[in-house]
Amino acid sequence: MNDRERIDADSLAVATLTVMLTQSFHAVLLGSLWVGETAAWIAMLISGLGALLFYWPVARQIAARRGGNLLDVAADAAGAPGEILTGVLFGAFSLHHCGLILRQTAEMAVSTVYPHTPQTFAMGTVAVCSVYCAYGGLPAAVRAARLFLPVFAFSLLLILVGALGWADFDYLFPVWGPGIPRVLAGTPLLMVWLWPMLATFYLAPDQVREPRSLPKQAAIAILVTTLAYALQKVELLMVIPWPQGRSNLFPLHQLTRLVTGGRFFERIESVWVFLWTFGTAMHVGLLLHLSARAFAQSFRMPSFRPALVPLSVLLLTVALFPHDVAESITMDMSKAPAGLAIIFIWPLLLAGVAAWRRRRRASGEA
Amino acid sequence: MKRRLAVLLLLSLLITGCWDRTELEDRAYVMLLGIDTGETSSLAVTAMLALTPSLTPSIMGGIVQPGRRMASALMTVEAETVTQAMQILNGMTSRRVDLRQVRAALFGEALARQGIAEVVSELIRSPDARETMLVSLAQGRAETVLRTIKPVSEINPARMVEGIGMQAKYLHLAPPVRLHQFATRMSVGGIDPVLPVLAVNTNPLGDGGEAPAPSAGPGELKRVSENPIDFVGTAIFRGDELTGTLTIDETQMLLALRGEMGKAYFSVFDPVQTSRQASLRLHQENLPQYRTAMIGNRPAVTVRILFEGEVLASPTGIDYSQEADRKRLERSIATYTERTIQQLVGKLTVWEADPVGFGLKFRRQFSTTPAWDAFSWPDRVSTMAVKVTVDARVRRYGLILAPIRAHPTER
Repeated sequence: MNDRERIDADSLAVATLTVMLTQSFHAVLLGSLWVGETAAWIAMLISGLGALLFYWPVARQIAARRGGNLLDVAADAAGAPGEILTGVLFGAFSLHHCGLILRQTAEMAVSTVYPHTPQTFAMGTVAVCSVYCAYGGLPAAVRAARLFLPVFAFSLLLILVGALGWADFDYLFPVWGPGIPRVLAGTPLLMVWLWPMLATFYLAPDQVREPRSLPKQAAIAILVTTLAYALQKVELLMVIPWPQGRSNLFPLHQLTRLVTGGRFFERIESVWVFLWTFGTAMHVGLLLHLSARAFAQSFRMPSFRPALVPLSVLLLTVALFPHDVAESITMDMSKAPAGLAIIFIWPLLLAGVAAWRRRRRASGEA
Repeated sequence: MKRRLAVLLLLSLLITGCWDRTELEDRAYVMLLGIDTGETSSLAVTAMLALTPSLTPSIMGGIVQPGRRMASALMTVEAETVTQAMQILNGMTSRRVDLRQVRAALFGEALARQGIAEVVSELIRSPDARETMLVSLAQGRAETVLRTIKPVSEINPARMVEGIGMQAKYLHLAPPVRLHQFATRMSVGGIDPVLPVLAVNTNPLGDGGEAPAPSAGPGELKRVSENPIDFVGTAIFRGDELTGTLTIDETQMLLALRGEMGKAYFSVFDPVQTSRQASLRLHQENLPQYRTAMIGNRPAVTVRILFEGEVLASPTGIDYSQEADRKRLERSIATYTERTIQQLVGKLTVWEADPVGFGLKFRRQFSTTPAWDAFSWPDRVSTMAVKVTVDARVRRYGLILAPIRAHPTER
């Protein structure tokens, strides 16, 4: 890969931030309400900070190998089997995540503003856009994200400010919801909501121009995302309080329904369909690209693009697999322990072993 | 990339399909929804449909028919759910019945006493019905109210109901409540929901009935009007079940306790000539200050409320801008409002309902939900002791200080 095809670390951080914000519209964040109840925003904050703690040592190991990524660390730690296993685990998990996101977007479109559109058609449309994004590669995704972020962030802010009139501060109490032990016990599983961001920071450093500055940019992106999600949760709890909010499939969509500015500025939820679709295409596109790259690197394929064809079929299969949106959310929640192991425990283990082997090698050479 | 994006955006404008199109000519829009208990089914649903074929848009946003005839039709069906009722209505009209333009929903009294959580939940679940629609209680049957309503300054009854709902926001004769607010307060512990009341008036002028009460309840306004429907008073719920109704003054004090009163018109008996009343506009400048404590097992609440008043009418001829008379009037306002609040709290403790949200003040003191649940607030409402202190200050007198007196004449 020549230097022109590489991307800046801050551009990658911005792209992941965009992708994470698009997740706001999906039901994947419902878990924080189930875990934290009225303390969902605290659970969100703790999980974000916890994720950062896990990420940092791994990021340092990746940054130490200039031009490498997590798969290279895995190769250092456990040889080719370790690299293949890591690539397959990350690729498969990303694919599963993308499938569920795709399904939830289609469900949301059909349940809200497009009741007569066949779901498979909605899903197929978003899938085609996603594969197109994935085919364009990381530089294309980053450029698109840079263009999309201001529009998306402004729209999100508009929803939150527009619905503020319905908020009641009292609904945030009791502060600790089900109790500190239960919140803390559930928080590790919540850390998996950062999967798209961490997967990018683990798998994409080999495409970054100055990989040494990536950990810092990534840490800022993780903190900003955590803060943005926590603030979202605060407002959601104040407008659609626990326990009403626990059964709300598309809370941000409901906020858009509550936005009113007199008799002229209301019923604007359809405007956001464009953002859901484009945001999902970007979200799924980036992860599908990373998934294809992980498989390609693991199996020594010269290019990631041929892998996109079978992966897109698998993507649609995963999306169609759940019986309904409730099952897709349940699948999302139930895969959290596996996600925790893959995105946090396994890379930490690899980084530890790789660091130990490097130190041993260095002392041997000395 | 930019060029590609621009092409995609332009294409998205050109390739808009007609898959989910909604033709106005194919729809029968429901403007008002009345929901009662049914005789043969769980619900009797009355829908006020807009007669769209003969409508012309009016300047004020209402929909009128040439010749000022009603632009709507009422249909009542019995069903197990609102959705089923819509299905039956679809079988009676050539157009598809649509809930997307519902301005307000009225719940019948009997249904409200049984509990309306199921209906509210159904309306919230529906992507068509809006959470922002106004909701009200119909004293008696919702169907009767909808069939009796005769708008005075409007042609369209739905516009009228929406208009008085909006007006309630400023005049506080009844609290304006949206479906989302009702659902929220119904589901959160520590506060109970309320609804404004629409009632058929039973107390017309000139029927030789009782003298007008100082504060009228729903359907008790002493008046003559083409429109026999009153829109005053508040329905109090415990969870989702109706427990009782409040008068206008009690409604205003309920809103004052919640810090939502803003400005309200008020009449108090003159402190000197006790048979006459002075009219004022009371303004709640600050949020009420609450102190909560547990005295033994009994929750105790101390509330301090500040009202600022503007004299609007002084039929007794007293000049309230003079300090001594002003202070007398201020004491009179404070005494009356304190008494009204105590009367309101008395009703609430009997009904075991907490529409003020006293519970939310206690809830803040608990760090976890299980501890709050164990406290069992609904069971404690009846034992609650509330001490209210009202501080009233008369600061304005309209455009004149002293009343204008007529020249004394010899007869």
